[in-house]
Amino acid sequence: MTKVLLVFEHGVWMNPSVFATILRNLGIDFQLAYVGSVTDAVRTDRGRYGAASAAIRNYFRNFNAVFVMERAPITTAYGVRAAVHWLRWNEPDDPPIVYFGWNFSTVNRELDTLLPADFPFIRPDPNNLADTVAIADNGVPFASEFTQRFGTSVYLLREGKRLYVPTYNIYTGDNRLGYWRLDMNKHASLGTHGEILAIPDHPDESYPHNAIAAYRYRNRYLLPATAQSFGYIITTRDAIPNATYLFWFLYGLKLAGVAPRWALPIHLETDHPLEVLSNSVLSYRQQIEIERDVFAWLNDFCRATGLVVCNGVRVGGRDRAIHSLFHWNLIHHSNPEIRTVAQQLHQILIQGHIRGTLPCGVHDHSITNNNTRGYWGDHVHYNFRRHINPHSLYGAPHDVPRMHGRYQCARHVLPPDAAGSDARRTIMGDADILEWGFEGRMTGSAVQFDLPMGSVHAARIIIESEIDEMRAMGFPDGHCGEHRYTNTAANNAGGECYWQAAKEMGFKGMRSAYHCNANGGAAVNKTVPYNRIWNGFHLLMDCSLDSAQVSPLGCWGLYDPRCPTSGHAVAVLNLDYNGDIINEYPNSVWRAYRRAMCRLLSDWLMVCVVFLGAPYIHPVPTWMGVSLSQPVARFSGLNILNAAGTPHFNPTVEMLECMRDIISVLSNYLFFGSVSDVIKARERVIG
Amino acid sequence: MADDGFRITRREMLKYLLGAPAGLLTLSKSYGVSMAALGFPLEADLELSQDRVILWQGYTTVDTTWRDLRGNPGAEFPTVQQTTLYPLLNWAGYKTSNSPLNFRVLGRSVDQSGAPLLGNWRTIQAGSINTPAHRWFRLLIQEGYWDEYRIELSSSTPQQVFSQLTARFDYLPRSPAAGTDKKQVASVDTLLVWAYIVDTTPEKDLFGRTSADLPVIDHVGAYRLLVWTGVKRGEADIAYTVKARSTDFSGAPLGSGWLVISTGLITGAPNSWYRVVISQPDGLFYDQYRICAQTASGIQELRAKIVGVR
Repeated sequence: MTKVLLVFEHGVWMNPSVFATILRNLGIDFQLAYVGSVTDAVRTDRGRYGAASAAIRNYFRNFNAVFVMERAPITTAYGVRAAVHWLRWNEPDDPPIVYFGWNFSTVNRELDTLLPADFPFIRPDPNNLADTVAIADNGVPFASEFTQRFGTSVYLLREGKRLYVPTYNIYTGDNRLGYWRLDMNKHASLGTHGEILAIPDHPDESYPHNAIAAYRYRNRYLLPATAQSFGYIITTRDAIPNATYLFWFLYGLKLAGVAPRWALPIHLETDHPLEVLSNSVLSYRQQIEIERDVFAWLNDFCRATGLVVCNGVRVGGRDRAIHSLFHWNLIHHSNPEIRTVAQQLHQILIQGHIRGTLPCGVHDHSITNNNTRGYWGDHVHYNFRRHINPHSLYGAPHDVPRMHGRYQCARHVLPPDAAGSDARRTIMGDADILEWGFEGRMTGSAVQFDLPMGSVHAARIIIESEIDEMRAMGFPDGHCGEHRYTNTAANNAGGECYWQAAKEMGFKGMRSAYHCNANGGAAVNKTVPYNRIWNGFHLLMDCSLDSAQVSPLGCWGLYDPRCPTSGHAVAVLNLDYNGDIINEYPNSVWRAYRRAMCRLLSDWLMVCVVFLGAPYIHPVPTWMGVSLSQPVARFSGLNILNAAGTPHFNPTVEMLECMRDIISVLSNYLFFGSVSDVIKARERVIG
Repeated sequence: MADDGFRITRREMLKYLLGAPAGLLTLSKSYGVSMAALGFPLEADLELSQDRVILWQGYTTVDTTWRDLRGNPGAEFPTVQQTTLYPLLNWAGYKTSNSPLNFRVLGRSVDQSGAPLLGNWRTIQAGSINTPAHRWFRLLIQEGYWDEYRIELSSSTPQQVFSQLTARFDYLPRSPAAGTDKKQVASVDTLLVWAYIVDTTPEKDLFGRTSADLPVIDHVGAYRLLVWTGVKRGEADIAYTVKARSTDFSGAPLGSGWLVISTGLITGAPNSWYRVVISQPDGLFYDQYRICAQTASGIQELRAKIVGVR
């Protein structure tokens, strides 16, 4: 197995959690070492070695690569200073060493006499930032509340690609970010021993000609920083936004030639592929036309790349009719113009489901009393309506339990003949139960009744009604075909009774928040297991990639000063710094675009690579800022406008195209795949 | 926990230790074998040792520098890891000098990635072994279920120390429902890893919620004992309350409210480790727990890991 050595300054404050998880997920082994000063010994699992000794050099040769992990401001003399010795070890049997955001500033006086004479960087000087540092992204601060502002996009010279990946080399100490600057004469003198790998590059920015983001110095790679902080621990509850800079970690693996045992899937989900906003300035027909055209483009993209986009179809419109804008209601709309275009989109989804590009699953906001909370979002759903299907197991007119029997006993401890005459066997996970005493607890032939939501009997009725509606709409199943999965409404997977019922109906996983029915005050609020696997049933961590939310005036893409704060990407993603977007709009559109893409792509990478989770978008709020005539056009600043007269912005098209570029650069590590690929990856490393 | 499971005779110990290649005594400063590092399957050890497993054995030369049983002075590195399963460890050894042998037994927990919640350690036991030269000693490490242990030694004059580190584990009661007479090891499972900013608000759970009906962990009815470890990052003491309840087999609580099963105070300097054992005389076996914590003053980060012992 390939093996990487991660070198940190010390063990107390710096935590390798994120990197350990990435390496585990890729099947790459690793070891840790610690050293600070140039005179310190390197502390390794095998003992201490002098930082410049032959012993540590030989120790390095046990690894495929050595990564110097760093996050020290240039105003300090902190960091892995001892790594300066290793710049000179460039024999063929020396492993490549990758320095991430290494602090070799002038404050680090230990390095003064030790840096090689041909080291081609201008040392960052906190007292002379203007001549030694290229300040990034309009000087935005690097405080925790501004983690969205990642610096600029970069251009990779080897690959010839511009990537939207958060990037910085220098943390100035006054909360600004910067890039290194190169001594161009020394760079020229190095010839083939020096190579510029990446430069900051974007149409809205201007940098000195010698600003660089990544460089190869002989067999040593100097790359941007990989973390905002090393303080986080990895938990099962939330995706922690500390993996912002993980592209550079993966790119370091590539440059060092560290091959993974397997690549990791990048996938995506949508919630409510067919939906309209009643308060939009766009008509229902216009909104659905946008959805139709983007899904048609998405279908083609999936066929071309191998990406599989699971779609949570908003069911419940047929049986519970809570909301007139559900999928069922739109494809049966009384207005023929709306119905026609809804049917066109619907057929794209059905064909995509059958062909495997756009599989669809149930996504039910109609259960629970307030119409939003999903599975087990209330203790009792009053006046619940089930499906009518004599060929079903749990639909009307069948008389089935709507709650547990009055008596429940494990079968293996029940004396003979002790159960009542109406005893039923129920399997729940590894429990085998007989229950009886169902008087007053059955549905009879009723279609509508009060349904206590916390039992496997309720879960069976609910999930079967959802699948029945999917089939009535022409889908062959309700669990995304072969993937046997769905993205749940409100990220609420209910609890073990819903997982059991879903397993019985063919599912092998769902998307779920840690608090798997947490959205309402009346909810029971259960939690998922620590490893997010319950009796073989996977519960994938949720991560929203929405760049806009439903707002009272509709949603207007990247930015619209007339739009409420939840309705555009600048507000939702917190992209503005001190008015540098909103006060300069529309001249700042490319700045807004760049920051939005860096944020969305880094979050997407994080949830797939670190957490093996489930990223998702809501088409309606995120897509309504597109041009009506060119809904899938790439962003073009002020050249293409949407219906509100602001720049056209289709975040899904942009994200997918930009992620395609990232995957093409990291093709040994990432691939476009499906949720089944994610579950396979989870089973490999989590079990 | 009785220690009669450890029956290491002097003859057995000599067999283990002197079986090491004698020539290595002069070639290296330390020699030892970690069973986990060699990838020995646990089952093989079970067959050989019944209810104990050898975690490490070998020798090292101890001097004035604190170094672990393997001779490694790097304080960041554990002597043994993946030790969550074990309620009790036994360190048996043989010292070769009259000089006192100073020791520190350290433990810590790791997160989902295997990285420590914080890179420092909790001192479980510390002291000095003052026996004359060429004598045996033995130390029971009764604070079990840590993910990693480091046993550090120092001596004012250099001496070789032979060591064997073993661990004991428990078996589940034999269950007729399981349909087998084969003994099953009582596994220990991670239930939660979390970092949370604790403040002075009463009745706030580890996720910062004050709604009284919300559990912190669920589906945990199989566990007779919970061990809650972690790091407090601030100065102030932290008061905690652990509440429990049961659910029906669909997962619905049998009633509202909770049974308070444990209260206490987490004390210590900033960045110090804590360990809370949540137990009842006949075992816990509740399905849900709600754990609340509040500081006496200010706010501070609390890192927490909870494991369940079957």
